[in-house]
Amino acid sequence: MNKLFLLPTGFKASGLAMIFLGLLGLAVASQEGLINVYRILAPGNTTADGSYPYPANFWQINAIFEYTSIALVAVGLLFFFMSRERDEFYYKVRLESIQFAILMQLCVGVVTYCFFYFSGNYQMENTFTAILSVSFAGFWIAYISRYYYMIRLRSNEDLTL
Amino acid sequence: MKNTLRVERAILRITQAELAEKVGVSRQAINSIETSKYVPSTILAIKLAQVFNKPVEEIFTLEPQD
Repeated sequence: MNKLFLLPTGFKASGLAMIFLGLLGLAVASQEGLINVYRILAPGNTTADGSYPYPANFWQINAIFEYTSIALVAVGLLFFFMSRERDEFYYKVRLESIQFAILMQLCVGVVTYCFFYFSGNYQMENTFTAILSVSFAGFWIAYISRYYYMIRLRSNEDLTL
Repeated sequence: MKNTLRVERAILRITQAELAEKVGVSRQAINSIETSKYVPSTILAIKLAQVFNKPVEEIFTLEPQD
């Protein structure tokens, strides 16, 4: 891609932070976690029977929170992948890391599928989302680990003059 | 491809970071080139040769497997 269309290098770190924050927000919102946040913030504010009151607009706020988190992940991904690297070496490391991560994603997906299939305790049609989620997580963990291993460790092995 | 980057750098008494700054790349890139983990582009190779004031083929030489 023409480097003119790419964002400055600084967007990469903020993109990564946005992805993590967005995923965290999504995890909280999808588990109705705002109620738990409410419990932490106002532990004594319960109804007469001891339960926690749902504010009238709770579901609306939760939905807005969820959509904002998804948008944050999307924009973060855009920032992360559409920003310039520092130099040609970083481009090579990034490409290699993506290739490595795709292979790892496939491996993790196959292993997860085999786990569900051979354990015999799961209906396979219900495991599709779990397999996808785990392999997606495998991609990101492999990509980030490989990238930082190549940049921070392998390129710092010998610093003598 | 092997190179004499480290030797040339020692002659000029400059660090990896200083050399990296001169040619406009990261120190990690210089480190990887020196340890033959990364083959630089033609542009970067020429820039490096210009810093040491030598022809490119004097710094970078092909190996039999290349």
